[in-house]
Amino acid sequence: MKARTAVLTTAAALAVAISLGVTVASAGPEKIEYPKGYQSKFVSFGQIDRYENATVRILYASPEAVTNYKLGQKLPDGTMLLIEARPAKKGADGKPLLDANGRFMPEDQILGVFVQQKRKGWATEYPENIRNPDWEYAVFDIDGTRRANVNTQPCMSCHKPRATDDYTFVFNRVMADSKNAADMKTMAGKKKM
Amino acid sequence: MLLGGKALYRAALAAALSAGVALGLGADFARAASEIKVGMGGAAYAPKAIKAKVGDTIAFTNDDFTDHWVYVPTLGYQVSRAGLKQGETFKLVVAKPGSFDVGCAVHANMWATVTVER
Repeated sequence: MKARTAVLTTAAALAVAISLGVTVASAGPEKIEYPKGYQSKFVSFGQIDRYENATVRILYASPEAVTNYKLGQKLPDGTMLLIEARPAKKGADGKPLLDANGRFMPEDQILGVFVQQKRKGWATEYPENIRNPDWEYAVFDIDGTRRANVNTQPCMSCHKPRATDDYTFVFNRVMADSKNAADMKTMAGKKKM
Repeated sequence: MLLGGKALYRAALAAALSAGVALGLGADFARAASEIKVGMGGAAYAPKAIKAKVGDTIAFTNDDFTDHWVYVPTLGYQVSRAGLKQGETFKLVVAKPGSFDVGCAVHANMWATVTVER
C-alpha cells in the first residue's frame, strides 16, 4: 500500500513538474508569432552595416508601431521590430564592397529573422538583471520556422542598457527625428496589415 | 605688338601668378583625405563633435579599460562595430555629406556627433 502511494505521489509530482516545465518552455520566444509577409507589410527604417561580421541588418517595424508613435513616450503595445540579417557582398579580397555612399550591399541570402515584440505583462519570468519589461525576443528562419533552441536571453542583456529608448537601439532614434517620423508615418499609411 | 622691357616683365609676372593661383585651387580640389582620431577614454568620445570632409577616415580607438561599441543609429548612416577591445581601432570612411550620431551600445550616455561636409 505504501509503495503504491509512493508511486502515485511520484507520478503526480512528475506530472506537475512536466506541466510546469511545459509552461516555462512556452513562456518566452513562443509568444511571438512569425510576421508572415513582413517585407511588404512592415515599414523599413534603415540598414545597419555590421563591420564586426560583414553582414547587413535590414530593419523593419510593424505599421501600427509607426502610426501610433509619440515622441517622448514608450512605444505602443504590440510594437514589433524586426531585423533581417544578410551577408554583405564581398570583393576578391574578402572585404565588404561599398556603394557610392560608402554602404555595404546586401546579398539576397537571408541568414535569419530576429524579432522583438512588446506586450503588456510580458517578460516577467526573467531575472530583473536581464529583463526588458514587456519585451520578448524570438528568432526565425525566413520561411517562418522558429529556431527553438536559440537562447534569447543575450538579446535581452544587450538591449538592457537601452531602457531610456524603450529597449531599442535604432527605432526610437529614427522616429525621434520629426522628418523621418513624418516620412515613415506616410509609408505606414500605405501598408495594409 | 611686341612686348619689351617692363611690359614683358609684367606679363610674365601676371602669367606666373595666374598659374600659381590655378595650381593652388587645383591642390585644394584634390585635397588628400585626412584621418581623424577619436578616443574613447572614460566611456566618452573625444572629441564629441567630430568634423570631417567626404572621403576622410574617422579612426575610433578604444583607449579605455573596457569594451566599447561604435554604432550609428541615424537613418542613412547606420553602422555598427561591436566589441571594440582596449587598444583596437575601427576606421570608418565617410562618403556621404550630412550629420549623424555615434553611440556605444553598452554605455547609454556615450555619444558623439559627426558632421561631414563636401
